[in-house]
Order: sequence, then C-alpha cells, then structure tokens
Amino acid sequence: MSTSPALEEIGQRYVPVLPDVEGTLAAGFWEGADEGELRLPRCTDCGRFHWYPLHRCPHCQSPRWEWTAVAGRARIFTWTVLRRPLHKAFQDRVGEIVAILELDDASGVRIVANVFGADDLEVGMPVEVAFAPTPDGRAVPIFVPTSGS
Amino acid sequence: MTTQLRDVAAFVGIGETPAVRKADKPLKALVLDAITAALDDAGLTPADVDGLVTEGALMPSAMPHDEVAATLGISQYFSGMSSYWGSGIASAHLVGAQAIACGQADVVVSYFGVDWGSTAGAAYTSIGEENSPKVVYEKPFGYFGQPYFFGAIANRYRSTYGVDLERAFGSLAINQRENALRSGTAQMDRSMTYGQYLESPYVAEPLRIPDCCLLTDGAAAAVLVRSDRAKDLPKPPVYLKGASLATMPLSMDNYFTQNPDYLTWPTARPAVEQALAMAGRELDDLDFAELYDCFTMTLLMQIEDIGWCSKGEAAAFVEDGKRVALDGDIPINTHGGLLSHSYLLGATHVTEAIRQLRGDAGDVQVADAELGLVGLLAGPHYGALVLGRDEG
Ligand SMILES: [Zn+2]
Repeated sequence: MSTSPALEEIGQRYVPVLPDVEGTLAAGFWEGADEGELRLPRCTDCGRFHWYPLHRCPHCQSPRWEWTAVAGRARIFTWTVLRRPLHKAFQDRVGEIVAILELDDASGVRIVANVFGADDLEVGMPVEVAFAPTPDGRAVPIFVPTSGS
Repeated sequence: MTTQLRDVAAFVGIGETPAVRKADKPLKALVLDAITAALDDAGLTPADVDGLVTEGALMPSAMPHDEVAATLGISQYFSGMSSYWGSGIASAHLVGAQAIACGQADVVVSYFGVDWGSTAGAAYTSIGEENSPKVVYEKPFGYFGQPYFFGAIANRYRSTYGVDLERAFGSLAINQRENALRSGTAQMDRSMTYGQYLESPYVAEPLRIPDCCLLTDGAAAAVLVRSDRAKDLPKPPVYLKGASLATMPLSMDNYFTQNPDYLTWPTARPAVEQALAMAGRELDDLDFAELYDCFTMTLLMQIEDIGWCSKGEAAAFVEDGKRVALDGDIPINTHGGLLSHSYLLGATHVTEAIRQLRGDAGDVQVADAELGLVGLLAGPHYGALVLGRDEG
C-alpha cells in the first residue's frame, strides 16, 4: 500500500472547489463533514436513503427526511483517474483517484469521493472515511483503504 | 396508436455550417446560416415556414424561436421543444411531426447550434450551476466533466466483463476517424493507427483523447414538411417513420452516479423499440445507425443496449471494426460522429442520416441505404428516429 499524504496536505487541495452551501438544500452534507460526520438524506417515513437531496423522498414522496450520519465504511463501486484537468481547479490534482462508492449502511445510494493511499484498485475494495481539514477550518470527507485490509 | 405518425412527414432540406473548432461568427449567425441553407436545399423560403422545433434546454437561451422568426420574417408559427441536449435534438422532430399530424403546421424547421469550440470549458461547466448537486457533491472530488463520468463506467465495465476495452475503443475511434476523413466535411483531418491510439494521453482513465468527442462551433438545420408537399420539392424526400423519447425517474444531476443499471443505457432500447414499432420495422431492417458517441464507451454500451449483441459482448462485436464499417453489418456513424466529424450533440447525425437516405453521402455512402436509425442521448433520456427512403 502506498503512503497517503497527510490529511492537512489533502485538505488544502480542496480550497478552490469547496462550495458555499450555507442555507441551501445541500448544506447538511458539508456541515456534517465540518463536524466529522458523513451525513446523507434519510426519509423519516420509509427509512430509505436517497442521493442527491430532493425536496421529497423519491421512494415514498414524503417531504420528511433528515440528514443522517452513516458509519463511513464503503466499497469501491468504480473509479477513474484524473489525468487531463478540464478545469483550472484540478491542475494540481492530476493522478488523484476519483471514485464512486457504495456505503455499507446506506443501501441504494452511491457517493463520489477521492480515495487516497490505495494501489491496485478493484471493484469491491473496502474503504473508510477520514476527514481532511482545510486551512480555513472546514473539512472534506475522503476515503482510504480500510485499516488492516 | 403508435403508427399514426409513420410517413406523415418527410425531410426535404438540410443545412450545416462548416465543422470547425472556432467559427468566424457568433452562434446566432451560425444558426441562421444553417436554417437558410436548409430552406435553400428544400427549395423553400422563410415565408413558407409555419413551425419551429428545437431541443429544449440549451436552445431557448442560445437562439430562441422568436429571434429566428423575427430575423427571417416567419409570421404565424407553431413553436415546440423537447428536452434535453442530444435526446431533445432527436425528439424535437417527434414534436414537429405531431404538429404536422395535428394540422398545426405544414413546414417545420428544426435547428441546433453550439459554440462550445470557442467557449472555454462550456461543455462541462454547463453541467452545473452554482449550488447544483454536480457542483456541490461531485466537482470538489474531480468528478466534473463528462470524460470522468464515462471513465468511471468504463472501469466497472472492464471489471465486470473482463474484456479488452482498449482494442474495442481503438477500433471504434479508428472506424469513425476513417469515415470522417472520407466524408470530406469533418473537423478532424488526421488519420490514426491503433499504435497512435495507444500512445495518445489519457483524459480520465481509461479514456484517452481519441475516446472523447471534439469541441465545435457550428449549427445544423432540417426542414420537415407534410409528406404530400414533399413530392413537389427538388430533393428526394426522406420519410419520418418512427420517433420516440424514452426517460426514467432520474435527473441529469444524479443519473451518472445513481443509475441502478449502471452498465447499460436503460432508455436506449425502449426508445429504439418504440420508434421501430411506429415504423413497422425490425432492428435487422436497419441499413445504418447514427448513434450518440460523446465517448467510445457511450457507443459501446448502445451497441449492446439497442440489441446488436448481448451485454458484455460489444467489445468482441467491434473488435476488428468490420461490423460497424461502411460496408459492415451495421455501419455506425458514417460521417465520423461526435468523435471525429464535429460535436453538434447529434444535430449532424440527423442531417447525415437524411443524406444517406437520399443516396447523397458521397464517399461515405452506405450502399442501397433504405432505412436508418438516429439514436441520441443525454443522461437518462434517449431520443430515437427511424428514417426511410421509401413511403409505405
Ligand atoms: Zn420515503
């Protein structure tokens, strides 16, 4: 396994692309990250997760859902590698693994995240969340191979 | 009920601006050039036009119907749109044919134009407004820009089916490169060997530069008329035999990550089946297909999903490129497609299909082409047109 860069170094990379979501439907995900939790919308009527957040649960059309913390253990569903930056914000991020992940305890949804410290990626590889702090006091969820795997 | 539109309308004119990365005039001027060329080709004038149809997500701001009408002097007209992007370019013709069938119009112009060749980053920054899910949950992680969506699909596809994707991608890219050079009208002017394909840099692994579409400034237009009017006009009519738009309950925002059937384009087959049913024809009747090829991976999936081979078998199907070549079982993207001709999101797939069925496609003509498919997609949406040379 290759060594992952320090979380502080990783966190710095996200500064140009971190969204300002205060007061929007999207806020819960990033507020959770700032508090060290991975949170996704879960319907309080049917109990199912959905992603991305909508004004109603797409499974039962209930308007009642809450940002709900998940454990942050996931499996790699698929991935690509950033090779040619299509946006200036990614010029210093060439070589990063851009993954789509399935969370162990939020079935039916997939999230996008970067995976660090993994060689020889394969579908199904277990990963777990870590939070990379940014210089301005925010945090970004990233994933690393599950300890001991 | 699905047979009511067959042969109701026919294409009688097409117009295209030159396929170039950067045009010497603004997008609106390009659109007007394409419309004027299509009307000239049809032997008609703006005074004959009583309907305008377009894709419904980009065109309303890029070149609205009323500005076309105001500029060209089109007085009373039906105005219709269909969303989104590529799928809407195809299904706008369904709306046009419906208007003709209902007696709302007799001469309908469809158009599409784009200036993403000269607008840096437009093709991918247009996928997400500020605070849209793509900007908030995807962009921070570098999953931003369509090559990344399809690179991720390709890696899971390869993992699932264990096939030689490089060979398949290379064969598709080279086939279309050769068609583009033969067409004489393509933006791309360099040939490519498989060795050169393998040496080309990655954009989003495993997609390389030749796996990705071009970027283009340009416009295309077509004229669709009530079929009985077509017979008096100069060009051989090409009949609209079937048209459909298939969708599913996912949005442009979440389709690429949440599609439950991740390795298929779930709407491709229902759209094509419905259009063929309307035409009263079978998949095997098609002489060629012009399919949305924003990436080689996109095309590979459609070859399976539309039904030319089973799931996981498209890499073998296209391995030596012969089945999809101009003289193959099912010639695909005869003008070079989005990969090598130009990236008008499929507008020139429509005009190329019309040219093929007129027998007017020059060095890329498919021999005795009688029936063709246009299949264009955008996220969860798929628009299909079946066009035919003969009435009945
Ligand atoms: Zn619910």
